[in-house]
Amino acid sequence: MTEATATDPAVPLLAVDNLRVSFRTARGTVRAVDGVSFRLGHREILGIVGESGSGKSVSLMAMMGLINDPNAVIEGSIKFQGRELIGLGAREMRRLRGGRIAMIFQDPMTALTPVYTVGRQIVEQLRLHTDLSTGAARNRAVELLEAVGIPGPKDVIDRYPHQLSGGMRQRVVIAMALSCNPALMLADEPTTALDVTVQAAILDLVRKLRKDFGSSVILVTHNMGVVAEIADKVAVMYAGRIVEHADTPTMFRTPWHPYTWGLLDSIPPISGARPRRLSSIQGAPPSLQRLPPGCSFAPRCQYRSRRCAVKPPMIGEPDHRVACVLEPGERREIVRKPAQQNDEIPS
Amino acid sequence: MASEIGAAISDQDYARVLDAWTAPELPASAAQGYWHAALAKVRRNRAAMVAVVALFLFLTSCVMAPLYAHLVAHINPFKSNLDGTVLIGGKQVPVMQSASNGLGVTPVGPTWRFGPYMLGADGQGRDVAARLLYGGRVSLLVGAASTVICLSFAVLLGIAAGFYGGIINRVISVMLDILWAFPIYLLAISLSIILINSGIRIGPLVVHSDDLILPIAIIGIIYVPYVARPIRAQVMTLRRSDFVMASICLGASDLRILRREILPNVASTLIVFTPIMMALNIITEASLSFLGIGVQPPSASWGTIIRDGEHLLYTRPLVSIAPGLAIVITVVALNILGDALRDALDPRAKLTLH
Amino acid sequence: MSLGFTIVKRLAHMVFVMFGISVLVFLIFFATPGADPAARIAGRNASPQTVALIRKEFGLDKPLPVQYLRMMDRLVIRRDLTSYVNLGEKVVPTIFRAAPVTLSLVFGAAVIWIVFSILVGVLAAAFKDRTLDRLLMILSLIGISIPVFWLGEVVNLVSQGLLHNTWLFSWVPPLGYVPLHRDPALWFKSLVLPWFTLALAFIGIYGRVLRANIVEAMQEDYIRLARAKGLPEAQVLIRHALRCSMIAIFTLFGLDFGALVGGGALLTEVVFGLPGVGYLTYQALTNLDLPMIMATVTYASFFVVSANAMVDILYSVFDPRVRND
Repeated sequence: MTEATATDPAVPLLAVDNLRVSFRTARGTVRAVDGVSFRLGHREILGIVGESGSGKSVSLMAMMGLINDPNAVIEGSIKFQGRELIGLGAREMRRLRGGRIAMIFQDPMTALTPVYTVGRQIVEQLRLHTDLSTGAARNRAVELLEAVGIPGPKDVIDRYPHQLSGGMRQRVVIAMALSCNPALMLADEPTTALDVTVQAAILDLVRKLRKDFGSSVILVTHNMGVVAEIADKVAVMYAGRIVEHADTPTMFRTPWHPYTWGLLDSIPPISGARPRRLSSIQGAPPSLQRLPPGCSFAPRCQYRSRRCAVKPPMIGEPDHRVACVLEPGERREIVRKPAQQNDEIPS
Repeated sequence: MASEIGAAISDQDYARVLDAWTAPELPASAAQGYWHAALAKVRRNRAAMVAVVALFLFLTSCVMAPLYAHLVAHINPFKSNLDGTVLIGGKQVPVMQSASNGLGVTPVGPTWRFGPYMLGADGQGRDVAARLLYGGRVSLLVGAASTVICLSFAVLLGIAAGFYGGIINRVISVMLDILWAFPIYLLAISLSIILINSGIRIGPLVVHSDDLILPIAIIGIIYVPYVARPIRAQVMTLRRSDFVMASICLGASDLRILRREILPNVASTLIVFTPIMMALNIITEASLSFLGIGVQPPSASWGTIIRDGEHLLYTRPLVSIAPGLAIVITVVALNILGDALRDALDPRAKLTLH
Repeated sequence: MSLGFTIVKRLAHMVFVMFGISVLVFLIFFATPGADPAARIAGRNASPQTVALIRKEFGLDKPLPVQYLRMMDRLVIRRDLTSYVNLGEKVVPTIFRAAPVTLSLVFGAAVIWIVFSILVGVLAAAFKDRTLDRLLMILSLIGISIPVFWLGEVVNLVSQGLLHNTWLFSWVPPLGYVPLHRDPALWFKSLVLPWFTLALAFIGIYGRVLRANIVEAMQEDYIRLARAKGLPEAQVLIRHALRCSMIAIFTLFGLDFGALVGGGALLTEVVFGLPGVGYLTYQALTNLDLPMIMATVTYASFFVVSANAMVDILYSVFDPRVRND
């Protein structure tokens, strides 16, 4: 790919096509990611939602080129700025990683190397991807810490990770991710391990950073509330596949997949009264080693029928796609019914 | 359309699919018992199995040492044989040969044939191969017996300290701390020089200075802190764990908690420690015997044979080399077994699958 | 808890353990049932007069606590304990004269085992589950399983006997020790093989521990972050995983170093004829020179105990996680 296409606005920042990741194990092949496709535009925030084991984190690791398990098989295509990442040389991938593509992890308590000061860890990354001198890199690190809202950055820069709170550490991790102005930031459950109040502050920060730094963000979470608050588009993953994909308002207004209904029901309403009662989805996600035949969600689905015995293809409209065989009419019928039921239950 | 695809499925096929959907998820490995799984894992470890076979072979051949001495070597390996002869290449050759320079004598070298003096003679004209087998009996016996002593003390002290805490814990911990800080070989030397030179006499109980029980007891005691401290820590953790708390709340007696919750957990630690400690004890026995304060004559161990062969090192190296190799092979096998057991039993080593 | 308080507490514990050890040594030598301690101290074929003299000198007719205090006084405070085997030889100064030999041996071995075990640990971890890893781990296991005195004999057999007249080992001087200040080159030559002999088992132990620690560290989140930064794998391994695994190694190192100086190097000294503290103990053992053994045992144990305390204190000073928490 040439540089011209890389900056062409018509080319999406990230185009993932039919991504498959499987692991060979003693008990057979485990398909962790099974044909994931999506596009991500410039300055866009995509939320990927799903339970643990749905393949969302593995997808992120594949985009980072960080799956180095010798038993892993990665197929499909991941095009970043028009450039294919699958099969890219280790050196090239390393240059992108931490530079153009940065990542934030779930647990800030363990994400930083305990024996170095936070400043040294940020400087390490800056020196790796830029030709700043150590002194200049250090000044830049102070700026970054300030940008992510750390009070007294000149002081914090010489602290060790264990001397900072979880929220502060997550800010340091974000500062580190931003240090080289990444075009794409991958965030793996960045708020899950944090207090609710800190969560909101970190989400605010991510939003602000999109504005200031112009990065696109993929945010992986199991929390629909987080997605509602921040994402432009949502992809719902189940058992290694995207089962529903739409922009955020559409997803929350007219969800199509029974699994999405379950996810939306299991969060308390953000604002206003929600007509349906809070419920959780019956059962547990399937083991990836032995996926059920047909639609993977069928064993837990109240609305399954004989049509679900075959793996459902992605259908729907260009802006709202779903892997479910329910007809629009049926969906409307089902969505209306529990609402009627709810009227009888005092809240 | 999707609905059409679904309609194409036969009733029979759909019934099978429905079965698959509604079948309860079987837990992947919890169905197998913990010990069962561990044993299976050790069995699958090829190196560990080779080690077990090697240890078994060593043990049986050492047990059969008298048979070898009578039937093959035709000699008493504990009697010096300075004037004897041995048939080599059809000629009777003296066991102790005069050196070419006329100074001293050199024992006969290995014949490499399955018979008398297969591995040559030592400085007393005794059959090295036969002594090797007898020495193996003592080395393995001392190693095993001192391991039993060490682990027994360690379990008693570790559980007492960890389970009851308080003053008992304090006293035991201090004792263990002192013993632990004491350099191993110096402790062994101090004990040995006193005990092995004069034996002990406590009332009617007399232990002679050449009794094997002395090195066994000394080696058994010096490593107690190395095992007792981890066991104490483990028991303390277990004692504070949720499941023990739950048992206490349900009114279980101390004895019941010990038997049901603590001991099974400690047992896995002990199993891992057994081969490792035995390996360590065999080396320690050899080292003390090499210094002359371990196994005392007339008993022989691999360590004493190495000591006996020290002055023959440059003329008849095999006298020292052979028992050393026996020690190395035994200890390597025990350590491999210990590694395999740890991999199989240590819950930390268990893999978590994403 | 402040750092100062931690240090004071640790030092108090150290003094207490020293006291415990000295009592234990005393009990072993003076209160073991069996023979008369005076006869033991006098050594072989001592005259009844000597035994009587010793009984008076050590206060053996007095109660045990008095005997203990007398012994400690002569051992630690007045340091005038004398050997009855080597008549009139003052024991404590002899030990201090032998100490440099032991230190030379242990220092050199320590440098070798640290360098090689890091090499082994890092290479094995980098090639985890591949041939090189398996090979290094098997070699380490064998290294741990070889009795050091036997290894020394094999080394002597090869370097002094079988191959001494080849280019490989013709440089090896005869067994023994040459002080550093007399001939540095010869000092070095005479110690090279003892160093490696002593170091081998520790290379095995440390290599295995380091590999396990690095492999464990490589599963940590901070390693994922280091990779996500775009660091090359070698730097991830060395700067992050190895660096975090070294703390455990240094604690272990402090303990082992202390234990070796305090008697653990005895077997190596005996096999290579190096007249260090361990060799002194061994000679005393063969001569049944009890005062000498009491002195080496007490001083060596004290050294080990204070070395352990030093390690703990340094650990709390240097590990950023322990400090300021």
